[in-house]
Amino acid sequence: MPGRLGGRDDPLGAAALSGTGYRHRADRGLGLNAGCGAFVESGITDDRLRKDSEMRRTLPRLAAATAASALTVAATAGTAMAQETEVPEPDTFTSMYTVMATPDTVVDSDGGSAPGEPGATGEFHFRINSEQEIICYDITLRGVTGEYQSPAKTATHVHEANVGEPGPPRLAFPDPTGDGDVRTSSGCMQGPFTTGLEGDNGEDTGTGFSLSRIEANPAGFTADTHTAEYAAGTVRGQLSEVPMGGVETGAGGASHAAAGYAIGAAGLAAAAGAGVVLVRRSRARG
Amino acid sequence: MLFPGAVVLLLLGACAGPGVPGAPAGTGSQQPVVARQDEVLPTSLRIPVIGVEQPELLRLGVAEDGTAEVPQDFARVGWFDSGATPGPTVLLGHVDSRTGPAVFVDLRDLRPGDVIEVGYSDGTRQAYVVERTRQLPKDAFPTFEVFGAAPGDVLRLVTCAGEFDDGARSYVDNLVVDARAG
Repeated sequence: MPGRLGGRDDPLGAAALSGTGYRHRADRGLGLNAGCGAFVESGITDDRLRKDSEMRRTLPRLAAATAASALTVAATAGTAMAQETEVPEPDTFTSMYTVMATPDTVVDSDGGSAPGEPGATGEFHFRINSEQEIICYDITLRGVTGEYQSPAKTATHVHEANVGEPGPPRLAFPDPTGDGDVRTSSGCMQGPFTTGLEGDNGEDTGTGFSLSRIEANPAGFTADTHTAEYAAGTVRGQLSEVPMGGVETGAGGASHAAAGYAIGAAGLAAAAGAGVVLVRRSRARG
Repeated sequence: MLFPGAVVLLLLGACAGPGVPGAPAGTGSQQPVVARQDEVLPTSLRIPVIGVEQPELLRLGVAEDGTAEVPQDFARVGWFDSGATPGPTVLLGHVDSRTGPAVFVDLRDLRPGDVIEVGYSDGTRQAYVVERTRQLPKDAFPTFEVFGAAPGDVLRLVTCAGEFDDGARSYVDNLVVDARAG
């Protein structure tokens, strides 16, 4: 039924991308029914989390070099620094957010509209444990081309910025990589965070940042990525909270009569190979 | 002697299950979706093949404990309002109440190719075509596959499935129907 257009519709004609399918790494073993606020010590040591603050000032200086060499070095340095903050996935999370990033929402440093790369989209999935200051990220960019470029240590960020407004980066993620149309970046990193960009106060814009600020006002944060061609951003979108754990949509009143509600055996047979996927319980962790 | 209101409260508590206390103070309103002038939101649902006809969708959000709010009325379907556009349209409904089948009891019968119609606040309707049906364990729930951003105009319907855990008063699985604008 074509023709329905509006705020909820796809402004990019991304139906053209539908043939690419999509893959998300599932978040695993949340056990939300057991209490999402539960906190399990993961045994991470401080040494593991040590960051090399000396490196963070190097990238802006490199900007004076030729564009090509600066980009190459920046990409390498950014990856190396991001790896320093990488930590194992925590056992629990306190909140989760998703972002549908699009080119039309990109603004420049003055807040003026600065559309990003036509046809490009990005999905940013974030899982936060604010007690441990750990953020896990699963980023998928589609249709983003060219080299990344940013004065920060990487070009893929969460900025503290309302919709339609500019704002400083607070988190810098390893830039998504991949062959062809799709680029991805996944991992977990732990604060204290740095972005490699100096703020007006002379400090790194990540200094003192706590993930609890995202939890207090997710709509006040935006995720984006920057390339040489689209310096203000290729795609951008505000964070929105998603619920954690399974959905409690049953009270059991008919469960015994029907021996549980499941995809019927007949249905499975009929639909085998036609898209029905049963996720085996053995996938559950722990 | 119980007042009628007390009976209702008991039922709501049962509906919620252990993860969602009765009458949770979440981000949703549990009220019919009303859109502002500058937004277009889903307001109704039709699934002819299983006889679902919902002229009004309830606005749902995230409960205080971080889980998804679910409709307090077993006969109603709710829309998860993420507060963001664009994004997937996620609709939640119960498979049963404590006493019998509820609004999404037949969701498991949907097959690839079946058509689901969503009505929007601007008066338009969008047909979605079922792509697949998945049964997902709640203890390893792939949050972003259900609530996460995805390219294109996608619809996801969620209810409960699998065995009912009498002790936890909760189904162990969710049933998720993925559909795409057709």
